Amino acid sequence: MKKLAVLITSLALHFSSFSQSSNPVFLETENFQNKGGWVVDQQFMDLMGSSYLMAHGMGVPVADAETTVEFQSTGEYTVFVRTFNWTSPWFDGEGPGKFQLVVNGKKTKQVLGASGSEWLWQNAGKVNISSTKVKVGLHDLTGFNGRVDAICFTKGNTPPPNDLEALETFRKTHLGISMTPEKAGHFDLVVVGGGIAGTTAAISAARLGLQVALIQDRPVLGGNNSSEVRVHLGGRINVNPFPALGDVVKEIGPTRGGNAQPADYYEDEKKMEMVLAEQNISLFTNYRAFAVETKNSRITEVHARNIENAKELTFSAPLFADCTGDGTIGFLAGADYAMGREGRSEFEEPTAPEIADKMTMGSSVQWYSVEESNPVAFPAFRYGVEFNSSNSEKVTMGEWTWETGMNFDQIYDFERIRDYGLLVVYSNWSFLKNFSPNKNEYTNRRLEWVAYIAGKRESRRLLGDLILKEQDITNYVVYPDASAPTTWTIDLHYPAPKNTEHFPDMEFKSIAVHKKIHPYPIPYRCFYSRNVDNLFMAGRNISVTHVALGTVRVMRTTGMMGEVVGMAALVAKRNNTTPRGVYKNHLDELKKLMNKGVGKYNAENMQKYNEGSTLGPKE
Amino acid sequence: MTNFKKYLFQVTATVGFFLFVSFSNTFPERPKTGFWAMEGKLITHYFEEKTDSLSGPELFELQDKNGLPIWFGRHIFKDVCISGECKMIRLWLFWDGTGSYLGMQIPDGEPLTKSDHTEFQQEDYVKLEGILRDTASILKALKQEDLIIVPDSIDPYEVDGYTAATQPTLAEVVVKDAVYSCHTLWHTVYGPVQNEINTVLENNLSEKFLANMFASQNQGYISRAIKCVAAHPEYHSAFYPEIMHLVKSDNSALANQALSYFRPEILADTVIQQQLVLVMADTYMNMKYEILWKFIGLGKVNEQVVLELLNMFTSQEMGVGTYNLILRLVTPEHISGNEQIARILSTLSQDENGYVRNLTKKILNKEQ
Repeated sequence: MKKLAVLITSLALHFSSFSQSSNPVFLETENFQNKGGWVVDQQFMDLMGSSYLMAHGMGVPVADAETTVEFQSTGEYTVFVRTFNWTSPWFDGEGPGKFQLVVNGKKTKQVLGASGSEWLWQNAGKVNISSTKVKVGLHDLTGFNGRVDAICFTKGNTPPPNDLEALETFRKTHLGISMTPEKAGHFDLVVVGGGIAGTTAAISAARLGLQVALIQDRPVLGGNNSSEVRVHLGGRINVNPFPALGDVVKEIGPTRGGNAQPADYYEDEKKMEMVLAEQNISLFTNYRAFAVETKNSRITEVHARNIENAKELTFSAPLFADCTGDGTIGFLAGADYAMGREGRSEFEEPTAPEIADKMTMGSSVQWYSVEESNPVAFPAFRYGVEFNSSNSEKVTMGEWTWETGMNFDQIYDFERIRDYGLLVVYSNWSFLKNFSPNKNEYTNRRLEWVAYIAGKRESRRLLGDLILKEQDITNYVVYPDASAPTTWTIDLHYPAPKNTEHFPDMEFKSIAVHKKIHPYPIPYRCFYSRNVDNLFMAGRNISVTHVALGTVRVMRTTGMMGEVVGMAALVAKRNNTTPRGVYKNHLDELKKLMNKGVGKYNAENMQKYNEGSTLGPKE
Repeated sequence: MTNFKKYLFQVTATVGFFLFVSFSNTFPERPKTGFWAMEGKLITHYFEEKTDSLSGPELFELQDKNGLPIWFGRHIFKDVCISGECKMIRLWLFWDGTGSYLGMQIPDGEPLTKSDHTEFQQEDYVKLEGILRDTASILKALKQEDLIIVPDSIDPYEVDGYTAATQPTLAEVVVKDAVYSCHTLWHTVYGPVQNEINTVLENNLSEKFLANMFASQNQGYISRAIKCVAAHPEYHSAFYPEIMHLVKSDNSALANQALSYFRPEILADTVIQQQLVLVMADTYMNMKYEILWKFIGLGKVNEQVVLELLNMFTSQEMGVGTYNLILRLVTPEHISGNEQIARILSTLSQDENGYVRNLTKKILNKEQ
């Protein structure tokens, strides 16, 4: 497959009525033909087994989702719906995510989404199916993030399994999905993750002549810099010792900065078209990697599943790049990794805590409101976190400081972390709009946007031949494999003390503690796994300590990492060697490429915003 | 003389004496140096400020030959109180013709003093000047009672401002041992006098006055003039070309302010849109992008704007980074209604640059 296989939504939107061979009739909601106002959320499919549809209406019920299904036989069916009350960690009563099932235009009696503390099958009652072609819909009642994974019509009374492995088999069986994934092709390099690092890695390698597959689990590229998360780029490009690094970042980067701004700021189309313009990139949007095949400490294949139609593909290559942020590919392949904060004794870092712990930086659920010309109502929203005059945030928008989950596991607790981000935005806004003494100031304000894709800062860090630590940077220890520069401060986030006073162990606001640095070239050895022989990394999951992550994690820097990884992939291919082999035997080749860069369009440098403070070049 | 007459005489004499003393304190002789030595026409505005009555009712304005204010000046004579103990400070404060703080003048022989009664030194005056110029000073949000911290070990009722320490964060930004003076003066500079100056300026507003402001070569005046025109739409037609011209200014702050004048309701005028797009050729890259974003914010632009932008792109006056933004402005009507636009896009759909080619094809396909 040479050219683009943009198997995006259009594939899933085909009239894909399920051909159900037998009872039961099983529907994945993310595969609904008409999603109405519901959104596809794939962020937690590794945890709960699937992507799902969510009614993200920010307090306004969203339009119905609908699909047409063919049944083998008519008659009475019991309907089971996989859902839960997403506020259950904080609130014992009925949750706000209420919705109803609609069958052939008729709503079922049961209100769903308001109960249950975990994903499980809930009985939605019985329906009579009188013809084999059936319209099934989801009717949102609140706009408050009701969610549905799947729906099962059965003539029996037994719900489908909830155990993930059994459910996986059940899904495949009843959706007619092959147990053997289809081959997407063989590539020179498979890049997993289409954030800024993955996108630049793919472009870099493709421009150097490699055949590249770029796998991204969303319909857009850019990750945290996409219009779905809306964090602006940070850091400096085109600085010594390799000023050509950053040329691709310059081409794909949005021309104006700002967090939590309107969607068009983030220029999704620019990133997408820059990738599509590369003949050597096969782009697979809406595919999430979920498994790998390995042989002798090498990855041979990555398996990915479409987040809407569940179709599975395998990608084979001699080289892989993990740009997932979570280090998913490395983790699946058994790569060494770290997570949380190292104790001071481990690397003697001055900023590290005395004792190692699991704390990480958090994830942001950003939001903003707009002023309307008429009053806009917002429902009372009280689900376990009470806001009042002294603890509420009297603001009209929330950007990176609305950060949650520092004391939770950013992988396994991620749905809860994201949901808490939503919960506090809604609860605070509800207070400001309905109960605050200053509510008049908010009368005409409307909640315009709340991210449902959380912007994550930190989780797994895959370990390479070198683990970059604080003193390497602060003492300016330049290694022979110096490459992409990190220019941002060592910027570590902690729960905001004032927020802790009001919400102990349930913080949702953060502070940043900065330590200035000189621009520092990150050693190339941080960009490949030390024990998975053909695995590169670029992005926040590279080989650094928690403290060092504080500087390298901003997106212009991760973009330059991607450029270097693309170059190193060429060197590895050309010399039939591994990423480590590039370091050991072909570093000069890599340096030549870093000197030259892979810029193509001589783009104007509009990347002068949010460059961060710096001590300036080291003398 | 009867007792009553004697009493009346004594009272009158006493009141007269105090009146004389008070009057002489309030209206000292004007200095002959510094601001007061500048040439111009002196205008006196009368202004009553009840909380500052000792300073007198006058606000002076020195105008240049075009009637533009060179400065506004006010004699300040007020008390600085610390824990119930007060001292008087006297000085002249000056604001420029836009109401921004300009400087101070201390009467000879009456230096400012600190809480320990020592006189301000040269470096103290320099620091005070810096504080008073800082429109966003930390002092802005502080009340007098916020200015000291009371050590735990000391009974707060026995402590006055002279012995209590200045707050650590505050200490870095105020003149040592003169926090109350700094606070009082900052709030004087940014208090009612400034409001009165704005009122005077507002009352002076006329086409001629604005024309002089624009012609002044003074960034502050020009900036103020832009704000005035924005606040008074009746002057728009006379001055928007002037403001449009300023978009090309080398002074980026002024250029940005000038651009921000062109709000959506003004840019709805397609003539102004076309004028603005022509200005782009003479602007720096950043401003080109800002103007583009301005058009994007407008939602819909005139076809001549689109055509001009496409021409600038094809002639490489605009870089590749602008192309997706330009295409955001292209509508089906532009393509179907303007042959030149259709022709340029058709050519670009065959461009050797794959990025440009794909983007163009996409928009052409979308419009079909």
